[in-house]
Amino acid sequence: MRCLFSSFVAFAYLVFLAGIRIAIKRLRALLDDLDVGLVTSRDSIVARYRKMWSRTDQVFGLLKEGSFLERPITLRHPFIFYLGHVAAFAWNQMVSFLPSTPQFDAELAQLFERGIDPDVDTGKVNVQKKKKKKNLESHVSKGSFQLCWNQSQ
Amino acid sequence: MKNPFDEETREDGFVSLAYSENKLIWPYIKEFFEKPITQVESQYDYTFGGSHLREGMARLLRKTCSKQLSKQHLVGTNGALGVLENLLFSLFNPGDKIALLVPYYPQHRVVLTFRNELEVVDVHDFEKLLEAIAARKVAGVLWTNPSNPIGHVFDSHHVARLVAACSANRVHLISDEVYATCVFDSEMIGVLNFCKTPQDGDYVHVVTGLAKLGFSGAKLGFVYTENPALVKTLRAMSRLTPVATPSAVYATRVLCADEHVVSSLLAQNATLLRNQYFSVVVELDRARIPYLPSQGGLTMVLDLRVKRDEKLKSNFGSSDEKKKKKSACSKLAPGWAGEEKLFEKLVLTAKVHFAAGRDFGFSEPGFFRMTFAESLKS
Repeated sequence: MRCLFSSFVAFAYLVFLAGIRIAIKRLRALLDDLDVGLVTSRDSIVARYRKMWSRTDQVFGLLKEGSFLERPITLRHPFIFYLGHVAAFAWNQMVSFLPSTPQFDAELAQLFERGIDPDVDTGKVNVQKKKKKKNLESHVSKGSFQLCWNQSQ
Repeated sequence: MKNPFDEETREDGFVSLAYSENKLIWPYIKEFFEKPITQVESQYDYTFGGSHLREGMARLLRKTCSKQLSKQHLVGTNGALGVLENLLFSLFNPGDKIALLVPYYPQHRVVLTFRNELEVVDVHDFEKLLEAIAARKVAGVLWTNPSNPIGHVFDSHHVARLVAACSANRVHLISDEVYATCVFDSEMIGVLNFCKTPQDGDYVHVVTGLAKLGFSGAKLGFVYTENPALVKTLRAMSRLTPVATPSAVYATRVLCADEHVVSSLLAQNATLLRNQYFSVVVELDRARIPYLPSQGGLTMVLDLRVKRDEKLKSNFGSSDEKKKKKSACSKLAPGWAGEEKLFEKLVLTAKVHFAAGRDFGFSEPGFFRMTFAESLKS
């Protein structure tokens, strides 16, 4: 009896839906005809993501030309470290949340992984400025990375 | 409407999904219209709705409110928009500022500005609305819950904060809850739940009606307010816009029927809407048409915003690639002209009528309201 009833209900919905189904079909056909691509939620996430990197480029664009290897203050790494740090930190977070994410470059990931923050367990300040600066300089001369994130897409 | 769609006889007919009407519930309310009305029932009654009608309406309102509601605080007229017009006329002076949360029901703007000459302040965000109230930048707030066109149902936290802000700052809150009986994927918490002190009662008013329960042609609208002066004024004004007695008779038959009948009718309505909504959503997903999710009401919003290829504007990519992109670019103009063109094409070529988003105050072009509570079967 219940089965009979539910099939009746299902039939009733098919009747209700007939016009709406036609409307949706006609809308789809019209969009195809007009070559309209619709904005999906994925598109808006990608757009926000791109905007974020553009803003990062804008901030680093404030620096004088040729000053990427200078330090803002003596306790800090050269500016170029922070350019790479934003990307490496974001990517490392992705790797820890989504283990299937491939590492883009093991050496660069490690180079840009940490600044001069103290070690959370020992309290020891991680200052290997000279070594890091040397590494950064060699990568810049090799052209390992670009100085503008949005161009790399 | 000329040449409406019919599955059997006119497959190429016109499909209108632009008007927010509940056509699913008819088989369940049909019986209440079958018994003829008597002579007494065809003649004068109270212009603001007879005692039984208001008692039945108070019972219906209690379904979304834990508080005891009295029929003495209910005033009826011909339709919810009519009652809203009278309410605005009674509360405000021309030029007063009224906040309206975007997107809104287009007729709200008309009712506010056309005869009452009030100034509309578009607010895009709930927090901004609270700020405007706290700064007393507005004399009143007109808000719709469940919202029209999106079908969003505000939770108790939002409703409570809004009532508290309006009452504390002596800003009139008019809550349009005509869709309260149409919530299918959430819980409806009306403003009256948080209306506790006499000051709350003076500043909080609910507009409701029976249109969305299938009685759209009966034109029955009500205001519930605990402000005694307002009740008196609205009752007097209802002489110019009275409740039609036959409409009141049919509605009373439903509302004053057995308590069980009303409850099961409401449950049935929610089930019908829920099933219909989720079936429509499946169809939309299948056709790859994005939409904004709805929790209540009879309408939903299709997100037909057109993708513009950013790469066309940039200097990157080879010229071949650019050409390819250009050919795949839409024939629609950008901006509001594109929305207008799409609307025109939909009506004239595809013979489908959706309501265009511009009228609802959407800040971006490409949103269309579609009614899903449509049976399209006579």
